[in-house]
Amino acid sequence: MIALTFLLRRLSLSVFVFIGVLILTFFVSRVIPGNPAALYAGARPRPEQVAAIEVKLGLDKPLHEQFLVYVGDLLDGDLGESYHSRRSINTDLRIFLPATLELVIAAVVIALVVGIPVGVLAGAYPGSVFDYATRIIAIAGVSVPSFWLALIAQFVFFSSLGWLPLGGRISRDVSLFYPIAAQTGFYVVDAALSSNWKAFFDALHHLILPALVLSAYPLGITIRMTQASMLEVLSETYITAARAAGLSQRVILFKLALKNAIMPALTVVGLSFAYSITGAFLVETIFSWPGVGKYVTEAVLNVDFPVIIAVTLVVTIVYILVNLVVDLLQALLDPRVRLG
Amino acid sequence: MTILAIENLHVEFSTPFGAVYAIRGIDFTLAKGDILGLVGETGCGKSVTGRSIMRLLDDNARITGGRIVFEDVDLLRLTDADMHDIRGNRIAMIFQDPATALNPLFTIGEQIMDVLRAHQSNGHGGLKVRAMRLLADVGLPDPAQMMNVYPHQLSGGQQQRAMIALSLAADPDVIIADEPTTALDVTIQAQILDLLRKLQRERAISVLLITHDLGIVAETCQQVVVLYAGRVVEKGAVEAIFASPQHPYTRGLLAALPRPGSRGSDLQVIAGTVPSGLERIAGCAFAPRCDYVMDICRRQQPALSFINSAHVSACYLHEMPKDD
Amino acid sequence: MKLEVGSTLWFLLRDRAAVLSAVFLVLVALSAVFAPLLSPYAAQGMGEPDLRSKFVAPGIEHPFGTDGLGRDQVARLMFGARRSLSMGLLVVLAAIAIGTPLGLIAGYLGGWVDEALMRVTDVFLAFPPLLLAIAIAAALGASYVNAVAAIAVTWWPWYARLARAQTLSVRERAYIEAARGIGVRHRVIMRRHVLPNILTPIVVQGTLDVGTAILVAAGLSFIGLGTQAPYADWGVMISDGRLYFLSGRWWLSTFPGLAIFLTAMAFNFLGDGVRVAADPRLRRTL
Repeated sequence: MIALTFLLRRLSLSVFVFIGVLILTFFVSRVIPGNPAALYAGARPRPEQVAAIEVKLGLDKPLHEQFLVYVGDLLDGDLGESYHSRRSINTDLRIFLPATLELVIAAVVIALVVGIPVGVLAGAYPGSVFDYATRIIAIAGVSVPSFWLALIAQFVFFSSLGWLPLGGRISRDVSLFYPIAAQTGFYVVDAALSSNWKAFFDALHHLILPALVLSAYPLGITIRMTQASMLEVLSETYITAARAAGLSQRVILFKLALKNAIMPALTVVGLSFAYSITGAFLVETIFSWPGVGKYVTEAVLNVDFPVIIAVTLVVTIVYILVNLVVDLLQALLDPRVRLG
Repeated sequence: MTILAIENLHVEFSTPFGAVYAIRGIDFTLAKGDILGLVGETGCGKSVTGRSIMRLLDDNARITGGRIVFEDVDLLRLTDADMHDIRGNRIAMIFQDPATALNPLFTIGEQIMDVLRAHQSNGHGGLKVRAMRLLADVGLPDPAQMMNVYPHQLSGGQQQRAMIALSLAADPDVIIADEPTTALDVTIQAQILDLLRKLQRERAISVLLITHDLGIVAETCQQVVVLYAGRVVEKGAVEAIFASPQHPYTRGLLAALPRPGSRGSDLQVIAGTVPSGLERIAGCAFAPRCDYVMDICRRQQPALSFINSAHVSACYLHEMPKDD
Repeated sequence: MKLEVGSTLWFLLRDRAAVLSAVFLVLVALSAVFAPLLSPYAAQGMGEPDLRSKFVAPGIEHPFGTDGLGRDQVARLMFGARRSLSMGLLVVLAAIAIGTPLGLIAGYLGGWVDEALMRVTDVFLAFPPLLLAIAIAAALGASYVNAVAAIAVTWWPWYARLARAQTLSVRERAYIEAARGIGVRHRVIMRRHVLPNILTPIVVQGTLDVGTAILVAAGLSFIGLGTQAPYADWGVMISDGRLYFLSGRWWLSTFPGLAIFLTAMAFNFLGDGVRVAADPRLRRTL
């Protein structure tokens, strides 16, 4: 019963935020620009194009009616078309969004798998050499410009060592001779599902470098938050009580404290996701990774505004959903929320 | 027979303002099967003494001198591994606020079984059976159901019973109870104290009861040690001290006790506050607050001296010839 | 965050990384301010080409080399610092200027005003960082000022929340209750009594956020939405050098990247130092 109330409350918050996001993007696309139609028409539009867009967007109508048109189109699942390529944005996103999500999820997994244990140990041994080293790594992670790190990584792992490919999602010959049967749009997953191991390893090979670069910032965040929450948990009375009861350091750290520390640390999943997305927008171009980040940076160069707004909206919705799932997961794990 | 002896213990804390002398040489002994009350105001060092015995002080605290002798072994000289074997197993601890001393994310059953597992103590039946027996021993209803309950689902009194069950898991010889009833309602207080007395009787456990409340001491303890500013000012058998308190501080504490029939306004409060511990004190630490202060009190620290065989006190007053 | 200025400073000064960072930041700021006096290639720093010295590798004459238009990269870097540092600073100042009054009013008045503001901040924070800033900057048109405005518009909710939290803790204090009791007007109480008391933590937080702001601003510049030619900030310099980076002209992107990296790191070390120094529970980790 109480779990249900929590669920409803959390859902309604997401719906509210979603409506807010719609209003805000509407503002950014219709109110902030001096001449929205000209902006939508791209670089050097012809006057009749601008006039046509004005009609399509309903720019001659009052704002609240424009908003209804805006929301109506979105509810129809119509994100509009790129005035640069003349392609439907829906079609484009169906290709680009999975590419970005694959990259972002890989980065989040790296950040969590490495960051949480490291953060736990750093928090458990404050003042140790490990703690200091970790602190420097964590701060470096949140300070390094991802687009610069991407260049350095290419220089080291492609140019110098020759271990990893320069960019792209898959080698051309592999994609020709071992084509991946598209299901989820995640190359690594699709290749594995169809037991296409040649393509699987090639895709994985291409994924490593950009994912590592993207994971720098979320890794730093994860380490810092886990460490801080561990430090806090270890100063709780129940940890002293566990020591007084003669429990071993191993049980105290990795069973008792970890479970308590992981609760607040779970929020880093959402944050890691957000920062990986941000990173993707900056580095996909460098790695020739055909995702929404590259899509948007090219749209910026081509003054392709409809693409920018559509991607902002879609990615934000994905992010809202991620946060919702994380919150519900957290509630599921915490007996205090679940039961009372 | 003595089971635990504190000898000339000194503890310091390092702070940005300099060293704080929290414990400045205290001595007392806990006899086997006794309940000893360690009494004083906040900041007098009574909790620090408890933590020192467990060797669970905060990182900025340091034991700078003395011995803590448990069954002829100086705990302060044990290796970490040997001390680890003492905790829970020989000496256990219960805490002021059971709500924070129990881990919120584990069921009561899991927490007790963790302790049982850690000590692999001998006993009949599996972990679960033994855990349930412990829950029954501390008077919790429906132990089978209690096993699967999280701490926040229990009342304060039930939580403290669960905490006591947890501390009993490895069948310790000594329990250090740090203000075990302070966070509880008055009626529940009495029940928990009853439980402690029952355990003392039935399991021959010795209890170091840390409290600020002389009323609890009177009800529960055989022996009492009164601490002030990190030193013992008076100690002895409970009856002796309650019958004729010698130190002005003990008298102040007793006068501050509510008695049946007295109204709030009759309660006396000791004026002034406990010294910070930042400076070394030349004379008696209580001198600035004492109504009977004399010149010598400010110059030289009074030593503990016998009033009778069951009662010592550190005050110059009782060395004076009595007028009456 | 409650700040005890005295003891915080005492602990901060023992944090060698934080002290070193502060010194570094002062040096960077000085070299930015006095760039025209310090650099023999001031004009090139402002964008003037010198086609006789294209792509010179780092050496004695040009310690960080020159770019495709023959411009001395040390000069570019020093003048770029003016842009990058000022962008970070302006973003934070603007965000504080928007967020503080809103948070203060919401916290002070409470009720539906407070509720409304919190929901609005929820909406702003629902966007992944940078994404909304890209959209706004694109809507406004690519320029240095618009990039600053775009980032500030997405950042103010953090300061609004901080100001609100601080106001809530200050609101119940005796002198404010007293002022209210003797009939001082709300606006006067907010400005004279609440504002000065909540400003310290906001300013401290703002100072420490400058590093992240520089990073974000560099990101916008990198994708072409920030500083425009002939001027350059560090993000633009990385972007300009990118195409030559793997073909031997490594110095073009390396040095501006290091500049951003080290500056952001210095701000973060300083921030970490203040956080630890201000929190008694964390101090023992020093």
